[in-house]
Amino acid sequence: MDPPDDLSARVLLRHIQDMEPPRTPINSGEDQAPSDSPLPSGSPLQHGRLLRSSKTQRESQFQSPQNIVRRSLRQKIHQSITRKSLLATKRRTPSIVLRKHSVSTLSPRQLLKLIQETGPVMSPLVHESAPPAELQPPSADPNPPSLQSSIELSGLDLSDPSMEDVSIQKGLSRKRPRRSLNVTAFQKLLKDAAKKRESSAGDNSSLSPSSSTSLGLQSPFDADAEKSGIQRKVPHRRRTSGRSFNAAMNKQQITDVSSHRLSAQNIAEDANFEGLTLALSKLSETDIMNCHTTLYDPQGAVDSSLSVLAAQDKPTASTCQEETQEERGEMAGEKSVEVFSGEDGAATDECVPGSHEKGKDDVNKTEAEDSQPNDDRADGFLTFEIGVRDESEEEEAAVEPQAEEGEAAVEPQAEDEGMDPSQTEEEAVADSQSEEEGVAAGARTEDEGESESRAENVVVLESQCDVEEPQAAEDASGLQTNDEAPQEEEWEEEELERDTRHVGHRAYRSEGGLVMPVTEAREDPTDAAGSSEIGSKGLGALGSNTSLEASPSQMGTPEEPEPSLQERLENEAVGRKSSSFHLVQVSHDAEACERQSDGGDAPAEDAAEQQEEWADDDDDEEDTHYEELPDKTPAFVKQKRIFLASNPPPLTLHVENVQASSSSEALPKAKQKQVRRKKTEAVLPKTCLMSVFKHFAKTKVSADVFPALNNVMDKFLDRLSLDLETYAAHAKRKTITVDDVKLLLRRQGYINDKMPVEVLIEKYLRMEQRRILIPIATSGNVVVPKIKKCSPPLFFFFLNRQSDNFFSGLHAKKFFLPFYLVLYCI
Amino acid sequence: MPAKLTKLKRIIRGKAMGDVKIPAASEAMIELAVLLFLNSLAEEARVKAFEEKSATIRAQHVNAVTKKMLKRARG
Repeated sequence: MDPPDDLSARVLLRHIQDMEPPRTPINSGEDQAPSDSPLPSGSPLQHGRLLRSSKTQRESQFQSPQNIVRRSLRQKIHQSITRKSLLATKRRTPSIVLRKHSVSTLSPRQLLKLIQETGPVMSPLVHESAPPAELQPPSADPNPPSLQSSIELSGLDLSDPSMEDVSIQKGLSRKRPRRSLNVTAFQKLLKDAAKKRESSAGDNSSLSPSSSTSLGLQSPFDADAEKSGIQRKVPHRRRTSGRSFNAAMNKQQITDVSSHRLSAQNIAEDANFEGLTLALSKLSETDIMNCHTTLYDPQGAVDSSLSVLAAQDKPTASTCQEETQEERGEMAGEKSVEVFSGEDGAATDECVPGSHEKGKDDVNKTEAEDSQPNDDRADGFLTFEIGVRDESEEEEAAVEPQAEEGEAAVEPQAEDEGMDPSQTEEEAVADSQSEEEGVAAGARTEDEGESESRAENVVVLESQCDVEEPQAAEDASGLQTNDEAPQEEEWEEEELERDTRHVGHRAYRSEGGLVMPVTEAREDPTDAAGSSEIGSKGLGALGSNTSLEASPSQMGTPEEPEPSLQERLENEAVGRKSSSFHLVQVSHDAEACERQSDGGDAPAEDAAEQQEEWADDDDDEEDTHYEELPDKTPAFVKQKRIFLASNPPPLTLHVENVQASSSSEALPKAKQKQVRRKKTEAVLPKTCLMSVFKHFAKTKVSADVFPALNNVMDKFLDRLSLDLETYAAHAKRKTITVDDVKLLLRRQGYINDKMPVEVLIEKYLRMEQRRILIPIATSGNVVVPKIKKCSPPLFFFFLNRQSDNFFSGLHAKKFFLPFYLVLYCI
Repeated sequence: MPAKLTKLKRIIRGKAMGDVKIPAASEAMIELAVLLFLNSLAEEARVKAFEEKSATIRAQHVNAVTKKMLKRARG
């Protein structure tokens, strides 16, 4: 017999119990007897005998559970053998077997074998999702199980209650053998599965048998569920069409671009304050309207060269002005707009006084970027510069011979219109329209200015090369007032005197916004070599015109600052290619610079303020000054002059405070600083006060108590001194004595009858102080300090007074007894 | 005390209206007065900090007791 060990006894028993009707040892024989025994069934006696015999046999050997199992197994094996012999030819599928033999007839072992042969290993996890899905399809859909996606149906309710039972059972239980089968449901499943198996012969053989033959382990379609479970599908994946995806991408791109532009615009707007903001915003709009961006600029070919120039020297403003003149009728408006926008953009892009290369990169970047405001500005700047370059050479050639001719004639005009071009220049910055005009005006003025004072500019530039930076600061601040020729002179002198205060970048920043573009315009028109040429020219002119510098009076007071400014600017352009770009940037976007940089330079602020003021002024004077003949001196020079004239004193403070803080204006700044100093001075030394306080506090004391403590002490000492002085005055003395202080302490409540002052002295004061205050008898009957001799009655009184208090009396006796004795001895 | 209260004399003389002379003994007494005031102030501040369940005396505690102390220290 097969040992029962290969099949776990429990499993088998369970199956038997579930499947087969409860059998007693007596009954089992009856069932099996007809099939097994060849005895004629007709003879009841024999049958009975057999039965009895079998029964008796069984009864005699009372069955242990094991024996019962063994017998059942044997019987079933015999049955299976007989069946197997019959069905040897046919392929034994579980379905066939099951079909032919009802579940009940199958032995547990047979069933188990079928399971083992066909059923794949199923994880408990799959069961939960799989069974419901698989159960339903057979009932609901005639589709082959392989085509059904079980996962999607996992959530569906099972219509078939029988299926539900099975599924629930399957879903819940993890231990396969322990499931109780619903036989009818299972049979139904099997039938259905068998039908489907027959219909779809090509189905997965592995799956179908397993599914069909699975008992408590699997539903007929568990295989599918299992497979789908393994596949790891996304449960509810949205399938996006290509169209929707593209649309979303487009939207995203648009939003990105718009946000980028908005941010750029915001930056630009923020950077360009008040008057400037209007202009720049307008500029950007107009530029956008006119498609004057980097990409669409008709002079696109020039852009590349411009980029080179833009990064270079600062004093292109002059050249810009020059060329704007010529551009009046043509692209002047556009260019100027672009130029200024470009300048502003450049400024906005970077306020940090980066390197020359950095400026270049920024310019290139601004060109490359599509952020329109920045691009517009940068482009405008570049185009402006280019135009300037193209024409500057011509102008220069034309101007130089004229340099000395029309100077005198133009000077008065220059004086009168000094502000106008400068204002017009600012206008150009402020408004797009005004910008064009201003540029044109500036160009005009520049021409005249050039004609008059090339040499002067050169001279002054050279002399004030170093001073330019502080001057720039000065210029930025001083371009607000008009007609300050004498002041300008003084300013010039100051400039000459001042040597390189390292205002450095700040000086550059401080330069007026227009100044920088003008200066840069001067140099930008040429290539790097060209700019250097200009510089060389300037230098040459400087060398040749040193004599001119020596005689400032020749050119008239108004002229000096102008040429000096111009020359200075030129020199700046020449000498400081690296910082030129920064200057432009800084000048335009003083505010932006402040924000970006921690320090926020006062000069930059001043420049910004100047620009604001210019814008304000320009708005008013647009129409009037537009048609005026330009002065010789360029507008920026005049503005600088004005600035310098108006604020020579604050400049020092500026320079001082440049590093200190970022207040709005120079004067208030200085005042604030002085005020601050006074307040911050402590009454008592901090360490002393804190150490004493900590000693008395006996707990941790945070450092932030010092200010509060300082205030308290200040007030206390005020009152103290006042009281003491009052007491002394009451006693008609000018000296504050110990008694005064004692009186004070008494009034304050520290001293009373119970608490003599000496105690306090001994408690709180150092030995040297105590020695001063409390006389001590030393050797030789010497009392230190000397007690002033008073009349004996008073002395007695003094003694008596002290003796009133026991403690003090003791104390007195200590000290004064010897005296008393001595005195009375005497 | 661990530290001398330096410049006390100068401070008092600066705060006084007229020219006042302050001998050394008086200066010692003034120092005593200051110390007494600081002591009481610190004590009050400590109590206040303890009330707020803080082991550290902070500026807020000091400010809270300032007015009271100054009122008490009137001559």
